[in-house]
Amino acid sequence: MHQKLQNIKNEALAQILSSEGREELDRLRTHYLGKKGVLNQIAGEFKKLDREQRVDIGRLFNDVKAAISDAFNSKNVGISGIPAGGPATSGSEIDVTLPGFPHPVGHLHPNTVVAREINAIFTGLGFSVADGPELETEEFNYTRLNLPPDHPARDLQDTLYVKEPEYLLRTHTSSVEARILAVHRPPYRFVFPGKAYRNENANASNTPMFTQYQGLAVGQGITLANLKHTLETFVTGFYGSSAKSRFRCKYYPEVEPGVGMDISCPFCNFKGCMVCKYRGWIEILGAGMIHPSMLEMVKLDPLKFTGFAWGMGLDRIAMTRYGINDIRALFNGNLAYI
Amino acid sequence: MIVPLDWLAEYVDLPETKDLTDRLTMIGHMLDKIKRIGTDTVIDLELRGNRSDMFGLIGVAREVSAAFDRKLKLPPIFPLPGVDPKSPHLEVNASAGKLVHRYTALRLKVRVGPSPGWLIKKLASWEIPSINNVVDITNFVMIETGQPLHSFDFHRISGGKLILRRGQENEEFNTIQQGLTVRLSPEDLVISDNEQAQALTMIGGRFSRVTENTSEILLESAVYDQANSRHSSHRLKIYTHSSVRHEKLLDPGQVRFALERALYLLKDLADAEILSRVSEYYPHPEKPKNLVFDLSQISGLGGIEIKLEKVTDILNRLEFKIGPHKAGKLNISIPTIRTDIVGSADVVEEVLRIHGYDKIPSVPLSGETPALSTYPSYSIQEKVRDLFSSMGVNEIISFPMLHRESLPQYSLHGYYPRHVELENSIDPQINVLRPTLLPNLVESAVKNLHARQPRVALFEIGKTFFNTGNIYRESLAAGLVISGMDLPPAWNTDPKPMDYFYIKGLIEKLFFGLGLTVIFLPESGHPSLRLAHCAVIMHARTRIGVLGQVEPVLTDNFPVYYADLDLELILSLPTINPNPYRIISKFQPIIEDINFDNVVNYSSLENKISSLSPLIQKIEAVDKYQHRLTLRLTFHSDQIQLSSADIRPIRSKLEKLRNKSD
Repeated sequence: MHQKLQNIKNEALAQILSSEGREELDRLRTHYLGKKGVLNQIAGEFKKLDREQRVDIGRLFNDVKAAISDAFNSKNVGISGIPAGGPATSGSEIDVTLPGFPHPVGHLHPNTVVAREINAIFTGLGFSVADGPELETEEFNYTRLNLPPDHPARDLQDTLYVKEPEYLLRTHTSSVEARILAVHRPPYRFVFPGKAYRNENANASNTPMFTQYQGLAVGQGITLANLKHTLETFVTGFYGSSAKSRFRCKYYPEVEPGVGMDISCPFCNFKGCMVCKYRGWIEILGAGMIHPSMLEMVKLDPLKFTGFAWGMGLDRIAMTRYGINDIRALFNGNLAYI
Repeated sequence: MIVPLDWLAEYVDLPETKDLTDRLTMIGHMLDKIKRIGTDTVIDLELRGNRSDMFGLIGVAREVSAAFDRKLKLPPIFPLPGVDPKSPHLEVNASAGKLVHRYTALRLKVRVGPSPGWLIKKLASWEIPSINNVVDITNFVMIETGQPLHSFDFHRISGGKLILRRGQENEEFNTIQQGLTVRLSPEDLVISDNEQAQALTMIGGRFSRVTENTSEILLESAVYDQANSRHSSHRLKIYTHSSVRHEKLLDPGQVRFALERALYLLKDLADAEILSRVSEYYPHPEKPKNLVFDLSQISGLGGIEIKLEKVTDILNRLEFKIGPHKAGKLNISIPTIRTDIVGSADVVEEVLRIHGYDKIPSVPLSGETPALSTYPSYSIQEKVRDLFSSMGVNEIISFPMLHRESLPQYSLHGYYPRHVELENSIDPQINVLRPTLLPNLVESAVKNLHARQPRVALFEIGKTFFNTGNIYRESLAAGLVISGMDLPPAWNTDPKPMDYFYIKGLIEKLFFGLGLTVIFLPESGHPSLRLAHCAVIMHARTRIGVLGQVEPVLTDNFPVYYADLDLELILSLPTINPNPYRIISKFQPIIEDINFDNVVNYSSLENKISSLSPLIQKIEAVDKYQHRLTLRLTFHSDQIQLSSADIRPIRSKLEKLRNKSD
């Protein structure tokens, strides 16, 4: 009986799968599952079995029947693409305005979304995306960035050190710049979004972790004019073609000459408001030509090779985009904000 | 830098205020605030860390004079007497020698009295209270020149001589500010007499302060080691107008100018008479720095051609001295007050900023386009983000610092390598760097469950930190947490609670997308995951992750499932094409169901079945009742149309296998 059932199922499945057309399928359905079909016939023989066998065979019978029914149903889909007897073929109208099936949607973090948007602009300009360690050495976080041991930026109060001399949580993603300089040979162009840390308590505008977006290009004949074009492309790509930008002189130890870049205040468009402190301009990033001493440190001749670098905060940009006014909301895992 | 414009106008003719502040902003001194006090306008400029000269109003005037090409009007001075080689009023201990670049002092007879109104008013614009004419003059000259000065009551200096030395451990010092007493250390430079400390680099002492009873003073001005001054100031928590200047790289050349300016005012306002020659410590007198400047550097860095005449004009206005030029090279001498100018790139910035950054053209990058080479460590994060978000999982980002209690709470000791501790976190309790993303993700999930979110599915990608054999290491990890219902309640849904197999399915889909074949083996014990509800994720012999149900005590008894993946390791594994295609066989498959009883380890059964014949193309577990599993086998061949006869030998092997497992 066992073997018989198994054979019926195998035979049925093979026939169903190789059947062509609805008619044949209907015929097979009647043959196996109909009132006088093969399965009902064999069910009639169960009486002959003792109780123990009956339970066992009964279970197998149900399995076989289910398998055959399944096969019919899935074959049906295979033929017409629509399950037989489903709503589309039932003839009655459906309310097409009812909500669709609520497939769960996964949201990316605002910082991810903004970083991707910016990555897309820069990859269009030939930049690749890099990253680097967050647990850094003083050498890559400071010394190789033209911040010698006595530089005020190295003061203990701003830096989160780990319990081992020389190790710290990077205070800026410029450490990735130092690593790129140390590893790659020009020409190269990289952007690197990443986290950085500072020794501060969390409040609405500061957190011990923050996100930066930096980039650099090193090669021959690279100048501030190229930096200007690159960053202008970013500004119009990200803030819209009507956004204005300007370069002004600014000091950063890692660059010389140094640049501060402002964009036209998107809130007042030069009329002056609280956000831009009535300047009409908002500072969005720092930039400049990579300091010659940093090139020399990696054995590049500053007379032959030049490069530019820039850096900006990503959290603030994401907060503006998403109308979030408390930076902690970015990092507290609260879905309501996402 | 607070700049009262009436005051600034004494040193240079000013343009319209808007033109002035716009131009200063563009050349590197951004306008921070502007306010009106009475009839005077006061502008506040953002300070630049490298421009010590801009900490004095004359320095600001010098910038204005260069930017607008207007003459600088220096205030009147009275020349200092000659230097006394015996230096009767000054001695510098050898141990402190390195901490002092220049210290200059002289003895004066003075008439102490109130300051005139104009002086009181000027100090008031800086919110400095008037003390008396002598003290006010030293403060006034500091604001003018950026160079701090100090005056001691000479009769309060025991032995009539200042001794510069290092502080003693725990030495007590009473500052000029009433009630502010500090304890010194050998790290602090002390200006002392032969009995006690009389001043520090950033503040004077109460004992020798100038009062109405003072008749003679020692007037000094000095340049110290900037780093030591800064450290002292931070250590003692004393921040003064002096300390912010001494932290900068000051020009020792300004010491003399400041003293001469003070001398002029003291003679004018305090009837000062010179009682001594100058006592001075100045072991390495500053010499003007010279530089051979290659003009091509301007276009090389700035991307703009500027004519020689324009370059020399700008540099002259900035008080650089220009020697003869030859073959595109200029011999230039840097004014000593510009301690920020070291190399050619600094000179380029000087020329460009006065010429105008707005004149720099906008030119696309050209030349060889570098090959695209995004780091795999970045690409994999993006891939995982895409895959998880497509499965309805939300991304979070959390702080990597954990409360130190988290480690015992999650029993993370032992399972993960030793953790990394922070040395100086503001909250000493939150000082552990996470060895796993688990605590933050689980806490976020529980928080969301308490907030009655019906379906919680979160992931995070971030660094984890370890200390293995005293080597600090970080690793890239991904964590996934789920809890609640698989679907929201809706007219067409039948929501079911998400469980171990739901999260396992997400992980299987993730690895399919990453192009990695993985297997799941029972895990003997993860400290935060339930025993026998937890598995390791293996690729060949490499453990690349773990997943399971989080111990209910950690989740307020919510059923929460977690998976942890080592992206760093995953990155190193060879992948297969995650998007495999092949032409479907033109022959029909044979599909059969078969039951197995007492299955305790599905994956080993699956392995045994699939090794029976290459014709078994697919094995699906279509039903499970207690330990009985119904498997659906698909037999398929690309070469022939299979018939029952082809399958018969496989069936008998299956039958044997089934009897064994029964």
